[in-house]
Amino acid sequence: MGIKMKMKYLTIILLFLSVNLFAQDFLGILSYNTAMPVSKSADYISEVSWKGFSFEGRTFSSRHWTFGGMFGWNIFDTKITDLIVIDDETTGTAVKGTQIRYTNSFPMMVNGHFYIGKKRSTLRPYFGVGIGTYYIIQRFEIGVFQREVSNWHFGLAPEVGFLLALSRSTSLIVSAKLNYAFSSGKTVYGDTDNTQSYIGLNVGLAFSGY
Amino acid sequence: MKTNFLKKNKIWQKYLSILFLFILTINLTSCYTDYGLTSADYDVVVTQWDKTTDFDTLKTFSLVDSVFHITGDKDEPDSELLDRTYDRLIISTIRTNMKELGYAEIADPSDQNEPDVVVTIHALGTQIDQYYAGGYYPGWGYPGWGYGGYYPYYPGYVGKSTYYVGTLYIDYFDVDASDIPNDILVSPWYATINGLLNSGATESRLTNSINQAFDQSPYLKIN
Repeated sequence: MGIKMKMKYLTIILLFLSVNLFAQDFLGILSYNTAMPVSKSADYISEVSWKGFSFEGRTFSSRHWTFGGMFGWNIFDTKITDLIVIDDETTGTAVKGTQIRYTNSFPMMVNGHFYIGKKRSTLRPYFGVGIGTYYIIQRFEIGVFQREVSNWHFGLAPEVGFLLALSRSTSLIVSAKLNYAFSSGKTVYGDTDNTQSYIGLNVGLAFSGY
Repeated sequence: MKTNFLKKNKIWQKYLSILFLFILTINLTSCYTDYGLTSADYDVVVTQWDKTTDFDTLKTFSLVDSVFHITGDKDEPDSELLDRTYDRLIISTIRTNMKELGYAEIADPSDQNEPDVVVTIHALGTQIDQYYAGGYYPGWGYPGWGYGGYYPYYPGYVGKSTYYVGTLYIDYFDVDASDIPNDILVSPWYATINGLLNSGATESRLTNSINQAFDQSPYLKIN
């Protein structure tokens, strides 16, 4: 089964889960995610990603705290024609061609959040952190050649945001999240430092029971 | 009043949720962007040079006046995947570039009138009709040539339909550094041009790619 098919099934399962788990103290969150690559990730693809989403479930353990889990998908891509120059000690290599670069990042995390204000407040700012893994696929295409690598990374994702109540059971959720995937394996271009990071700006809907 | 409010609210929420799912679906249907690539977008020019060579000492050249096809059979000079329509264009474009870089051509080289550099041209046609899950692309590197350098690593193409790829190799042999009787040929610079065959705009793509190979090699220029 291809990765696309797997993701399709996983998406469908998570969709049902998030719809069916609306309990009293549960938040089911569906978000549209944009992402800006930073640091080494930006060296590979500097363009902002407009393609991404996440599913998330959070359970209130007290008035101010939730614990939960999330799954997301961010897609970064770019087309560039820059000359690639590889400088070794005695040999230089220059490569010119249309390059298509992709990064697919799948964060899967458990998380904890702290909410400011009363539970029924219209606006509830929060902050928190996720801890878990990123499955990151990098693909590089030039001419008829293609190379792809995938790695599981340990990751952390500190986040700030707010919930804005639209009704008693639905809130708008807006958050900014730093996705930080620690180095794992090699990049698609062979670098042993494969740290990946991006700042996500997420807008979604949070559903809860009455 | 309360009931009406909730009722209205539920309808509103339902539509909002559907709208949101719709946006997400649209968002995901284009996970790999279609960049609408043309055949020229599949052309790749690779040049490699030996940094220890003092290119300034090389000032004259001779061009082997034909394009050798790499067929895997020394008795078969013509590849069935390549035609010779563009041989003259390839040779003349390379000659023009060498002259523009400041090299003087020695048209009839001899022991008494030896060029500093001999430029040779090889071509390889490859039919791709299966999956290559990695490793060396079959078009890269060919036996029988002792290079100082090496062709860069590229993984195999992953694809299923049949298509044809052409690779043009331009070699720049340093005559003094080579030991020709013993088959040791030193090539401090070479270019590899790779692209789809039979996919249109061949003349302009060949010319542009050859020019690009020299343009991205400014150290070849004679000062």
